[in-house]
Amino acid sequence: MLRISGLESRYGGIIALKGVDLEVRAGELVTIIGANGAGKSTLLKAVMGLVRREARAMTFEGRDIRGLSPLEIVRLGVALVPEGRQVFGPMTVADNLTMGAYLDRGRRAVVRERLESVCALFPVLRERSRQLAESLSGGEQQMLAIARALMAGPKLLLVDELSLGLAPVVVHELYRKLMALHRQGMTIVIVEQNARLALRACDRAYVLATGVVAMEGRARDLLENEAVRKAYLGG
Amino acid sequence: MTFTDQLLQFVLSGVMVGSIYALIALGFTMVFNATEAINFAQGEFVMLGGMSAVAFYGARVPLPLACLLAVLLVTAVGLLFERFTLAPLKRVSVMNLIIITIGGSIFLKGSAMLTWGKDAASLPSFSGDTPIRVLGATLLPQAIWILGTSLVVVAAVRLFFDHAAVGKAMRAVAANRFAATLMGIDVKLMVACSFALSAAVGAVAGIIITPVALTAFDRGTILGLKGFSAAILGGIGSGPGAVLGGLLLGVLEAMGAGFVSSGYKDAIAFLLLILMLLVRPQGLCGARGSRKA
Repeated sequence: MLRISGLESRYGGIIALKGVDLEVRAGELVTIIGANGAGKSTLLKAVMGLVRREARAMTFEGRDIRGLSPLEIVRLGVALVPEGRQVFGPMTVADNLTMGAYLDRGRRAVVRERLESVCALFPVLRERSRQLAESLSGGEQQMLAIARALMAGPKLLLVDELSLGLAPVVVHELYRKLMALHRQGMTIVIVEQNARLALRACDRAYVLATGVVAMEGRARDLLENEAVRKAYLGG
Repeated sequence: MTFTDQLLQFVLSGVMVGSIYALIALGFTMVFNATEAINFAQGEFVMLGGMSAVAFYGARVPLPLACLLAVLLVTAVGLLFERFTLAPLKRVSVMNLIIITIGGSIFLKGSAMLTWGKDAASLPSFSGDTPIRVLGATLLPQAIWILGTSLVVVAAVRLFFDHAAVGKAMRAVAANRFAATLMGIDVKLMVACSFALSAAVGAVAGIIITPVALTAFDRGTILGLKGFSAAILGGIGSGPGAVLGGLLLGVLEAMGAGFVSSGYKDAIAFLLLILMLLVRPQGLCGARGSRKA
């Protein structure tokens, strides 16, 4: 579904990505782990066209997406749940969700159907639909951010730093939701600093270190891998 | 005339002028929310509304049509203004944006002077000049037009931002540009929309005030500054704040002019502005202490 080869990106004066090769197949749940500053978030931003990037090849569903703007990439069906949630604080939960389906605003039946399905996944959002997004807890905001991304009806869901700043019990809940979504057939890429959780939840994993893919493989194998254990799982 | 009659008179005329300030402040608010910049050309949109309505009316266009054409023309000017000043710029600081709008306002003012000359001009009142008695005070029929039109415009703006998809998208851009981009919202288009809307609202203000206060190429500056003061008073970025700030400013100004001296009329607005910035910089309705970076 997503194929990247030789992806490079300069971000804030430094070379954040130095030739990344990566592939995500339809229906997969993939995680990208790595230390802070390894280029994980930049990788997602580069896919979305949010940062300058160059690549030998970068295709989504066979289509070259190298020169495309964020708007065009969103239109193709890629949704990003950004780092730090970035919900529309002074707007209601309901309006946040409506904004998620902004590009499909004319197709009311479709939007209503999606609203039903994201509220089935995150019932708390239905209860809080009249509340302002900024009044939600961090975990609820992360759920809202995921739900908002799903409202676009994406084919590929990118999640940046899922667990950042959230309590472990909330993070577990979020992983359960994403795994449920994955079982329904959604293709998901999760960028994570919390490597252990991500490796347990996902099928395949990439380990990013200083802008290159240091390792890749089945998540279960990486969990057992000596080098990975040392570097990312605390021994 | 008793004291209470006088008070009533000042309140009425204050509310009339205040609703004009409210509309101008609303224009500042819309552009601020989309760009975080103060558009100092807002007052020129007001002036252009009045001047072009006068010009259309002078060309024997019936009054209602002249007003409508003026609003459309100024809306187009607002769009062009954004297109040729802000839109081509990339990565520009808010301070630079503000200075550019000042430059743009000087350009618009100069163009108006060259096109229509330096003389003040007026429109006939929309429904005659026979004063209406309200208790002990009197009210011009135009004042009712001003109040009614302002009310309709404020309500329409409110409905637009609360219920229309594009209105919500503009609020989303104000709340978080980056996230709005991720939703597929065209941020540049929303900025252009905010200029078009603020120009239209400004033009309406400029047209309805012209029969009572005249208009001239240089009237935009002071009206813009008053509207800006009102927006700060109410809390910049807040729609209800802009309306409240406008009305409050109008009434206090009328009181000051009536009870102290009309010579201090303009000084009152700026005195209030300074006081507000000292005491409560976030304004009356600006609950959020510090806005997002």
